[in-house]
Amino acid sequence: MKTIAEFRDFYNNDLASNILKIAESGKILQDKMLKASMILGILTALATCTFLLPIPMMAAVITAAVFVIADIIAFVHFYGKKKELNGLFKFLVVKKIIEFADPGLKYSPAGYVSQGLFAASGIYNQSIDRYEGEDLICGTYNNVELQFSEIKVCYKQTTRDSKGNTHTTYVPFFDGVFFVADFNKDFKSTTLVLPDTTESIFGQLVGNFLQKCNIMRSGKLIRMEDSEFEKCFVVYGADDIESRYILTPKIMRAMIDIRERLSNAVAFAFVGSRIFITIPNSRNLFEMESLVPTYQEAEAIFLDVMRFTYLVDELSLDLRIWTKV
Amino acid sequence: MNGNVSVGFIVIAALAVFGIIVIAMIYNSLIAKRNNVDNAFATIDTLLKKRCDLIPNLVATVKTYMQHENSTLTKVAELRARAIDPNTPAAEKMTLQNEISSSLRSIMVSVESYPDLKATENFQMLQRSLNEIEEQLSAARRSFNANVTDFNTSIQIFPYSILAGMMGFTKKELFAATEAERENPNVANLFK
Repeated sequence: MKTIAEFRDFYNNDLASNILKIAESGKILQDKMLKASMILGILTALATCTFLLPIPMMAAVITAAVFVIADIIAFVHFYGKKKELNGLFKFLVVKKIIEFADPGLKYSPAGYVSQGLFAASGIYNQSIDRYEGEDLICGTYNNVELQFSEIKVCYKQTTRDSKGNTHTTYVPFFDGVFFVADFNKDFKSTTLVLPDTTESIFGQLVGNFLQKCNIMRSGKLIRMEDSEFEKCFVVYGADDIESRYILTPKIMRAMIDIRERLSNAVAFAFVGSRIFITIPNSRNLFEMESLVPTYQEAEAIFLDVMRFTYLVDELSLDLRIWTKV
Repeated sequence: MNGNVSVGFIVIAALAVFGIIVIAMIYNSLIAKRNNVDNAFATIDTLLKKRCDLIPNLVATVKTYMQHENSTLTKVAELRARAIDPNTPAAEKMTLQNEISSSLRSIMVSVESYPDLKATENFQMLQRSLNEIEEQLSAARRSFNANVTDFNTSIQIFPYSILAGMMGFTKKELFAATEAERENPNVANLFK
């Protein structure tokens, strides 16, 4: 795993020039935006003052509208320029940082983990009516095949108002990072490790009963020996022994640490000899934070990459001492 | 008066039926939990047999390299023969399997002194297979312990304990590590 010190050297030797290039373009854009907003701001203010002048109302309205339209055009223009610069930032900076983290990793700014894989994990029961994402990182890390990206998944909700009109809204039920990797053991059945909200709300006795009766989940409730793990997660599996084969005491400890490190709502699925992890995250990752990026921004992106690739180390996915190579 | 008697009779009959249903549910639950324990034990047995099947291949692979460890190899082969013998009593089989575990550990530690052997593809495959079975055995034992704990808890809590006592169900033993397995390994001895 690469360290901060190694990143600093990499930044000084390979990345600083690219950051400088982006920063120069960003500074020019920033100045243009400042000038444009000052000029348009003054003119728009003056235009609204025409309402106080003794001129026909229509003339005042048209004058104000012209400047409002000019404001909108300027906004759209500069938004487009910012997006262009962000695209360049992703190509020149984010891509290089990811390849530095491990040469086996590839970055695709517009790519994302497929909907098929998300559905196959079985972590969420809702129907998927809208599925979008970005910032796909895939390849191998420490010789473990993996892929992860930001995704946002919604289900369709149709409501009818009092006049009988139907309104369709898309309600997000997952917004965060979806991580898929090759697990280091072969297994046939499915095991789900989900956040234990029922026990935390209803207590152990009632919570356990409700979890056992949960018909929305296939597989039976499996109680593990680690009491701290049981407080954080609930396990459903088709095969008790295979679930315990996967969830060793060491893996359970690692999951508790991952939950503390990344999110209380992290969930895991083990399907087809692969591990799937959903990590809710409200922050938009791998984006240019300011028009004039600095070393700190680059370091933050490096830390974001390591935050997810570190899952391979935490879960020892690169440990191949069993029959699966 | 006759109406009151009829109502009373219906209430008693309903309570009796309810009672029979509850008893039947408790009985079925206890039987299911006992069967889960037996099933889990059978799985351990199957995995132990699978491990025994690897031993001849292991002995054949290592004996040409590890000529100084002949006694250990002979011992593990003999233990295996007795463990798979259908005439060996079940309790003795458990003891033999524990000894096999101990012998296999010794062999794997000794292999560290033979880098040529360690590098062979055959040995590496065997080592992976043994690791796999030990991992599966560990899972099976944990599953067995979970089922035994569930069963033991059921026969002790009210009202299950009443029926369990009448059916002659007693507490089952959990799988525990042997004294030898509990001892911290003396790493210094390995390098003598």
